[in-house]
Amino acid sequence: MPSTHVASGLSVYDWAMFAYFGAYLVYALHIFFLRKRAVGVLATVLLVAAFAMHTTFLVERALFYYAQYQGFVLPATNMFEAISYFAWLAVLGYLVVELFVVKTRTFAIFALLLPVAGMAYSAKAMSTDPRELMPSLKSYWLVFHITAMFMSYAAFALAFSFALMYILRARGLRGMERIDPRFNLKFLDETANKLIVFGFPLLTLGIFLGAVWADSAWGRYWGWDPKETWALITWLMYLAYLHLRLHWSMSAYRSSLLNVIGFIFVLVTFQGVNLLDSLFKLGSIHAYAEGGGVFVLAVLGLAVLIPLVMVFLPEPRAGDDALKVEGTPK
Amino acid sequence: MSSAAPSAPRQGPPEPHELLWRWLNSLPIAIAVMLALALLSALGTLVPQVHLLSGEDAANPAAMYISRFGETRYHIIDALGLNRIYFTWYFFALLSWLSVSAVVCNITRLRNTLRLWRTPPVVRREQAFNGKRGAAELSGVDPAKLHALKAELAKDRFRVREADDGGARCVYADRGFGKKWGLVLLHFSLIVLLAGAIFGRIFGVVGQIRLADGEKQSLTLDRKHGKRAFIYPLLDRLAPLTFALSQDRFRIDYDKSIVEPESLKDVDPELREYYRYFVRDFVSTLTASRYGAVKSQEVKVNHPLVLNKLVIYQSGYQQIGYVNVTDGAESREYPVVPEQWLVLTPEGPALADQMMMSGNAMSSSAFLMEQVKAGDLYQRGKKVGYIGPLTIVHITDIATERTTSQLLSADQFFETTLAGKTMRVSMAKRVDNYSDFAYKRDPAIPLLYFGWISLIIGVALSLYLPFTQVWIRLSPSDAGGQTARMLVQGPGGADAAASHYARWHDILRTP
Repeated sequence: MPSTHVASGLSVYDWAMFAYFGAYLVYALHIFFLRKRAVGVLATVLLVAAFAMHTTFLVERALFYYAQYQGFVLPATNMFEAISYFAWLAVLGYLVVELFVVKTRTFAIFALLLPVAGMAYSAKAMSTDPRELMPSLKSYWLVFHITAMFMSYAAFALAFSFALMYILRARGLRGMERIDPRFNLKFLDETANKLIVFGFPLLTLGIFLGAVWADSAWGRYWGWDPKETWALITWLMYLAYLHLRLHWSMSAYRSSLLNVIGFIFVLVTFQGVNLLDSLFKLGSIHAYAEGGGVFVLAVLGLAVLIPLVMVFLPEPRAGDDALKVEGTPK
Repeated sequence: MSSAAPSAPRQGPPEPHELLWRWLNSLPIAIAVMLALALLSALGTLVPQVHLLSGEDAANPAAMYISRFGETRYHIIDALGLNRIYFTWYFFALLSWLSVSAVVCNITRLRNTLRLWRTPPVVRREQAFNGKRGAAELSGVDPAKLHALKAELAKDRFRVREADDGGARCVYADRGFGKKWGLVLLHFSLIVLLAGAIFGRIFGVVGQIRLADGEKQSLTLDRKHGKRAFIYPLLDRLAPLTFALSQDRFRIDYDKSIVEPESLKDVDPELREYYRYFVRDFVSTLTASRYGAVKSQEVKVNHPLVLNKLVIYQSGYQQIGYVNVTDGAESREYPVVPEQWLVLTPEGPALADQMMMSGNAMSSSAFLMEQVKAGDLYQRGKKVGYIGPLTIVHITDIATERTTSQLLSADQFFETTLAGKTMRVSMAKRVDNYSDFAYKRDPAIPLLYFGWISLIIGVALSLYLPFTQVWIRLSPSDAGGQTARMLVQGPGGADAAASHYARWHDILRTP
């Protein structure tokens, strides 16, 4: 039997979590204090090691499900596994971007914050045991629906990190200048936008695949279930973002704020619906009905409210002036 | 949505129909409607929706709302329709606005796209280059090299057009026109989706049916159920649909967890076994027939039966076990209802919910039983035997408030003595299984799938395909020779344009 969990001692998941945490600290050290290449390489190596351990955990869990159910089951069948799988995709996305796209580590502290926090939260607050599978989860649609949704979430998480960097930099936050000088406002804005452009079709596809699955499992493609409704709200939010961005030439600063709000909606869809469900007894039939608490809900509410208010406040002067200066090609 | 409405210069205020057209074509209004829909949808996730209620709440929703919100607030919620927000007139009005807006926007978009496709704006006057961001000018150009530049553009998969404008040669090229068609498809798909949803809501039928093991039932689809009266005339013309259903066999299969969950480590080993059994699948062998068409198959979750466009889904089950309570010579059977107490008093046994416990005499015992489990047992995908009927009984002595738990199977019993009378409780062999089906006949499903696929293709084309337009104008310059004015519009902005200009510079420049 694969060692999906052990009764005592640390599981491979715990080790992965500690390694992620260690990698995160080394990245922070590298970005803010020790800009030596060796430290950066060490951070990446640690992250790759953590990712390998995490992958081992996912493989073990999939093998366990195979042994139990004699078929492939994607290890994303409950909230703990969903957070784990999302973190895995987000780290994979980060590694691809770090190693092959932008080839820099300077956005690691933003991009890895959510996966690392998610791993820690899931390991600490949830049971890591494999659960019984509801019959509806034994479907090949699970793989396609969840993967499409989580890939879009991972893209939005990265877009959020770039948007946050944009906002902090545009507002002239001290210490931001230590971040890679190549990360000018134009680059941050364009990268965030590209990631949303990448993630939006995946979100559309994920919602469609979920509808097809719901139709085959429950006999309805759309039932206004809170999870479905919030996925639609998130879709509408990013649709509004794209329209405002492409047709209304919304400024990069306000786009970044909308980007942040959009990602908070992603979090509400992913986690917040469970909080709403546990607080208001809404009767969601989705599998991830775990977690809860007014505090988390209040934090999420504030996280939406603050950037929403900022959208209507005057922009920082440095914002788009700097964008024009830095964005002008030589 | 297009960013600007087509507006002809005219005197005086616009006509109402022009104003309406402009509003329907307006991006800010469309976004405001989208955000309003999002807001209302979010509100619907804060107030429990009637259609999502189940069990007793569904049977008496008003009582549930009153107990949760109080009577005054319930009346406000009900009057505003917040408990059925997705089916209110204002939600429908916003959806309708968005769909009509999508139609209007798509007409405008389609017209513009067709115009750009058929008659691209080849001629661009000199003034249109002046001061344009990203435009470039190149003097000393050899006009004979224009064909080489056109060939280069064609090689780069540009669609190239050429025209004369007075003494000037104008070249227009574009690439990635699929983006434009993608945008048309995207907006068109939204219309299809909405039309499909409305069509399905009018002509579709949904419902639920429960069949016991071996039961036969006739199912007549009620097309009017849950619909507004003004739709009835449309439905009256349709022939009634009746199906015969036969539940040939219904079984509930159990699986045993191959790993002992950490959460069970403190549980008694005997009880642990019970908790390790879980429902693997519930499977009906169902036969459906209509006018000679017969279909029989195993129906389980994710594997519905389809006959004459009627889709029958396995949506749930109920397994009811029984306990025998023997009081002297008399023996009575009681159903095991999870979360319901079986209270034994000297007067006899009675079923009660937790609220009634406090009213009982001190000389009584109460039993809370868990879900009965009975069915074929599988492990690692193979059938290994049969379990049940099996339950766990939590025995509470009301006088001492002590609770003990024990496994109860068909060959086990326990006894309790109340006021000198001995009562024996044992598990009955009888188990009743009921299979719940949801059924649906929705003629709009193909339309909806077509709409969804169009939407995904449209979104992918419009976001992933870059659309680039190029204008080049060669005209005699005052200083003699030819001057090329160039403009590239597309992704990559000025940087991408500059790299194009550098290449064209080498082609066009006189050696």
